[in-house]
Amino acid sequence: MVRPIRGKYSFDEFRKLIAEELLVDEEEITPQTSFVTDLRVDSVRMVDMMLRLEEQGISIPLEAGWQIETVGDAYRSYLEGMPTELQRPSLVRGMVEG
Amino acid sequence: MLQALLMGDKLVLMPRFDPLEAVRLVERERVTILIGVPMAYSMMLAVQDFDRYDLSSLLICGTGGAPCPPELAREMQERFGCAVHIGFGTTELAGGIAATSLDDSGTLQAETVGQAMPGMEIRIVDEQRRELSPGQVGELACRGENVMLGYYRAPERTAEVVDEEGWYYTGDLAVVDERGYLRIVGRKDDVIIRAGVNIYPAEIERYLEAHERIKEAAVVGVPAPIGGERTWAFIILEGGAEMTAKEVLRYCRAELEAHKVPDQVRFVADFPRASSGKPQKFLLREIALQEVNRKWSGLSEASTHLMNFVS
Repeated sequence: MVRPIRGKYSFDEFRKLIAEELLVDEEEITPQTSFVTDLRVDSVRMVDMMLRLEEQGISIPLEAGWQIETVGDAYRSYLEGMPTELQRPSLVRGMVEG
Repeated sequence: MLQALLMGDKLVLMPRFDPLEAVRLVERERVTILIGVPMAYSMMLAVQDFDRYDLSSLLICGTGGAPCPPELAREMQERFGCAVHIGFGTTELAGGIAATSLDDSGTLQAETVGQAMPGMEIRIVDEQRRELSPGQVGELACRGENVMLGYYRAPERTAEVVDEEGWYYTGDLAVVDERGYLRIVGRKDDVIIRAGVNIYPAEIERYLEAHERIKEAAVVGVPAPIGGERTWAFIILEGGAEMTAKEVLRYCRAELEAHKVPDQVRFVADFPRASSGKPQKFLLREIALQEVNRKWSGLSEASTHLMNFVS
């Protein structure tokens, strides 16, 4: 199980979680890896993945979710969401509220 | 069987199917036409030292009753050393709808169920029963003198499947090409609806079964707690073969479109089966559902509701 260091995942840890979730080898994932083209992640699988990542403490804002193309995009969205997590609705909370 | 009786041919019957005994009988009795469901052929081909038996008497391997994967048909052609004749029909039509001909190419024999039999009209229709063009997947409808009068004491059920013009709607999803060759894609009620997109399990099963380490695959749609269905692939590996879910998915990602890549992969020793040998998919679905329910029992009701909305 990957654990965040001081409340924040490094890219390598983030990548490991993605790899575990999608059952791909970590080495296959770089910041440039495309979810759709390389990992065959469609919108349904993306939602499933975001929801399960949320269980690991990784919140990706819902509105960003549909713009994400690469693993690097997802990691940036996660980092951008971090400092203002309390103010910015997460995937699940955003939907409950909105 | 009736054909053999009609023609005065010798019949070699097995009270109970046994793959080894079947192969021995073909050799000993010099069988010329062998009939069995696809599963029976798979089992015969797995007989130890299969290639040592003299099966040179065989002219035709006939099969039907369940989808015959093209890979299996090709293996039958190659290892039984004869033509493969795939017939397709339903009880409601007193038997046959379509069959391959011995004049058809090996590819047509392996990948289609042939053309409509004489006296049989076929067409492919959409949900509103409007005729589709060649190449489009839809429900197979048939008309001919052999369409049943109706189900016994069930006029309502009969009216659901036979229309006023005499067309019988089979519930089978199929596609027909310009020359009238019919390919069965799956059952209408087997269709997986994943976020509004129809997925035909037979297509994924065929792809999986083309892998050398995969013996048989059954793909089912399982309701997901967060909307729509997800695709679960249950897999039986070839004897002694090893494979991980990761390897299965990598293989799928190489060729399949994203929405056709299974969401879940499970390996099993065998499937629950009907007496015909067909996997009982409703039971596989139950197994998957139990797992889903255990896994997602902690998901909040609110998020489940909203994810349904999103999906």
